[in-house]
This record gives sequence, C-alpha cells and structure tokens, in this order.
Amino acid sequence: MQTPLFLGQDNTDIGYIINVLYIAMFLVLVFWGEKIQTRIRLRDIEYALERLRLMRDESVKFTKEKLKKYGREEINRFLDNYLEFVTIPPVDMDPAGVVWKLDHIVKTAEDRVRGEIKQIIPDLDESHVLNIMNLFEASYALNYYYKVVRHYYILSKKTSSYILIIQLQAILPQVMMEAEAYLGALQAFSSGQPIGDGAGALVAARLMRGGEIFDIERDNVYTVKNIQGRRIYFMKAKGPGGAVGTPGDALMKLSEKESFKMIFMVDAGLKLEGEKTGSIAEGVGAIIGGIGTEKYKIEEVATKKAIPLYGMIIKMSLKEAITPMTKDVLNGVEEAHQLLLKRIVEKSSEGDTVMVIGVGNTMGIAQ
Amino acid sequence: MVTLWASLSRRVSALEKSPVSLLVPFYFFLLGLLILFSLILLVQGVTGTGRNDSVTNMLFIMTGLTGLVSTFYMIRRYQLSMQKMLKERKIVVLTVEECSKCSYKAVRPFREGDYVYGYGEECPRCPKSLGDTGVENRMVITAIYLEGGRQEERY
Ligand SMILES: [Zn+2]
Repeated sequence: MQTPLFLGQDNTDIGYIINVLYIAMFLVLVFWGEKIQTRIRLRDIEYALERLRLMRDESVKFTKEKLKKYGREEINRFLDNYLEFVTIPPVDMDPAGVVWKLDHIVKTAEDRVRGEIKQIIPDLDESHVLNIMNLFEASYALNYYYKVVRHYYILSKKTSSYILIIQLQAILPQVMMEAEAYLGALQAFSSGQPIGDGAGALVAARLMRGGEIFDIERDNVYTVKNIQGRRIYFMKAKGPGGAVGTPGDALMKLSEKESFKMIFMVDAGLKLEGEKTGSIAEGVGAIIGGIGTEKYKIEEVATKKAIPLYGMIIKMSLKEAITPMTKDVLNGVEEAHQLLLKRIVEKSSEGDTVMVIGVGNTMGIAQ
Repeated sequence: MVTLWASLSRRVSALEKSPVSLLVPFYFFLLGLLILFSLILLVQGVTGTGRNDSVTNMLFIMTGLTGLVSTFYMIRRYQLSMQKMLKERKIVVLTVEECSKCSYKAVRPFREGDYVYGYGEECPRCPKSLGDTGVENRMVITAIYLEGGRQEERY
C-alpha cells in the first residue's frame, strides 16, 4: 500500500518548488522578519489614522451642516481656524500663583471664542452660543487626536523605530475609543440634549426646583432653601446652554458673606472598566474635574475657613459622559438626589448653612 | 492673526493628501492577486493537469478554496468596518413630561429645543381655562434620556 504524500514530499517539480519556497521563506523571515512586522504594525496604524481622519472630517462636516441654518459663511471659516487654535499654558517654573494665570488664560480663550461666535451670528442667544462652542470642541478634540497620531506615525516611519511603533499601536485602541466617544457626542451637542456629564447639574437642578434663582459670577446660578431648619445653598452652572460654570469663583464670592458649615459636591466621574454605570461613590474632597482652577479655588476656601468637603460621584464611562444621558445615569441621579438629602440632614444640625454644588456640563438642563 | 490661522489651516489640509490614501487600492490589488492565484490552483486541482495523484489534486482544490474564502472574508470585513464607521448613528432620545397639576406623565421622542425643566406640550387631561396665555397649561419636562439605557456593548 502506498502512503499518501503531502505537498512537497513527492519528488515532482511542484514538490521541488515548494521546498525551495520554504527555504526562501525561512531566510526572508530571518533577515527581514522585524522589517515585515514593522510594516504590518504600521499598516494597522495607517488604518486607524485613516479612520481618525474620516471621523474628524465627518465631525467638521456635521458641524457645518448644523450651522447652515444661520446662513453665515464666516462661521465655517471660523471653525477651520478654531481647529488650530492654541492656548498656551503659563510658565510653571515658579509655581506660586500659576493657577490664577491659568484661570485668566482659559477665561480669555473662552471669551475670545464666545465673542467671535456672537459677532458672526449676533441674534444668537447665550445657550446656543455655548452649545456651538461645545460642538466646536468635539471637532477640535478629533482633529487633535488625528494630528497627534499622525505625528507619531510619520515620526516612527521616518526613524523606523520599532519601540515607537509598538507604543503607538498599544495606545491606539484607547485613542480610537475616545475619538468614537467624541464623534458620538456630536448629536447631543448639536441638539442640546443633556449629556452624562450633566448628572451633577441635574441633581442640583432637581433640588433647586421651586426656589428663587439668582445669577452669580460667570455662568452660575444658585438658590437658597430651607430644609429641616438648615439654610441650604444649591448651586449649578446656568442652563440650558452647555456651560460648566465657575463654581470656584461663585463659592469664593458667596463665602464672603455666608459662613458655610459644610460643602457637598456632586459630579459625574469616570468609572473603571467593570464598574456599574450610575453607581454612586461617596467621598471627601473637592469633587470636580476640568483643568483644576475651580478645584483649587474651592479647596482654598474650604481650607482657609476649615469647611469640610463632602462629595458624591455618579460613575460612567467617557462615552456615556459626553453622549446623551443614559437611563442608568438617570437612575444614578435619582439615587444621588435621595442620598444627598439624607446626608445633608445627617451631617449638619439645625441652624447650619450648607453649600451644595452640582458640578458638570449643564447642557439641556435648566433650573 | 486670523490670516495666520487661515494659512496654517490651509497648510494642514495640504498635508492631508498623505500616502495613506494609496493604501486602500494597494490592499485591493493584493486581494485581487490572491483571488487569481487561488483560482489558478483550483482549476489545476479540478483538471488534474495530467497527473492522476488524487491527494495532490485534493490539496490544490483545498488551497484554492481556502484562498477564495479568506479573500471574500477579508473583503466582507472591510465592507462591514466601513459600514460601521459611516452608518447613521441611530440614537433615540426620549423626553419625559409631567403635568404639575394632575401629575399626568407622558414620554415622547426628543425634539430640538427641549430641555429639562423647560415647558413641553399642553396637558391633555387638564381642562383649558379661559384666558389662558399658554404657559399655565403646559407640562414641564422632567427628564431627557437615551432609550435602551446603555450603549457600551460595542466594546
Ligand atoms: Zn394636567
């Protein structure tokens, strides 16, 4: 009986060719193995880069489409310029007072963009200006991701540095996830829907219902209510435009004439993978994100006057934070609302003055 | 300053015509070669090319088929990823309205201009009193949320 032979085992021409091919392949892999791997990895990065470019283009196109109804051609040009807008942080070799400089620069940048949009479309109300700014920021973020990835892609190609390529490839999935989140944010930003980040603001808005609303500092509102003998200040960013407000400035101003016994803060926080969206973590400290200037001011006030800072985080992913608020987050808001009321009564006593700050982007949430 | 930005952004958009755009045609060229090669193998296997070695013919046919299947799989995957990237993100956002007088509750799709604690539609239950200027009879929006709750499954 003849045992069946596999390709290359029979002594035909084909077998000979296949043997030669195997040896050639072996040599190629020995000498150019790393080069080939580099090529393959670079191709993956190229693919991601192309996707990033498409996402950026789609975002810009979508924004321009949405702004068409105002009939101003200049706004398109302004968006193109805005994508390359730079905000230079202050020098921090001598760190004393750097927070105030940063605060000043950031506010100037915001004023500049706000002013420009208002100049181009004069009959726009404040909340729409803020929503357009948020929309611009999504395109800005996508453009930034694209440009940074492109930079490292070109750099690693030029230097053909294997380490650089591996590093770039390793962080790409996370970058793509964040970019997708920004792309998903466009819909919410363009139609002014509440986003997950507004969870803290929504808790404050619920507690503020029925009170008389006062404006304070830039983009903040507050109200004073009496709950079981305690004087409670509730504060949030002014809605329904996509503002984050300046709770630090407002707190500094309010604490000049009021002596607060304690400060409660509620904010949306990024969860770790595996944690449940909408779950609540209680803690201590100034619970507020952003670049840190508002956090600094709140901590300053609290430390100088020895006011305890209590906080509550409603957990969610980055995507959930910048896309329309999900039902899970809404359930978290409900829970945080009840828990906060309970904690205020537990921790304070009658006659105390308490500050409650709902932190976050208040898009689509009035008061 | 503005003109500087304009020139900057123009230069950036000129840079965008990078070799990246050549990648996709090349990819499809390779796939085409693979299809051709697989077809040749398949034909050789089927016709036998003068040999009566059935095992070799079987192997030719199998290799050819594997090549064809994997190429079509790759094309399909490319199509799917393109669709996923470009498809309209169908997101249904709901608005919850409540009447402050009779606590009637209604859920409807989100409309542009809705915001939490803004005014919604008129309450269908409460009678419209005479001389109403509109606002008194309207329900208050108490929540706006994404239907389905979560959108995480893709990761
Ligand atoms: Zn009613």
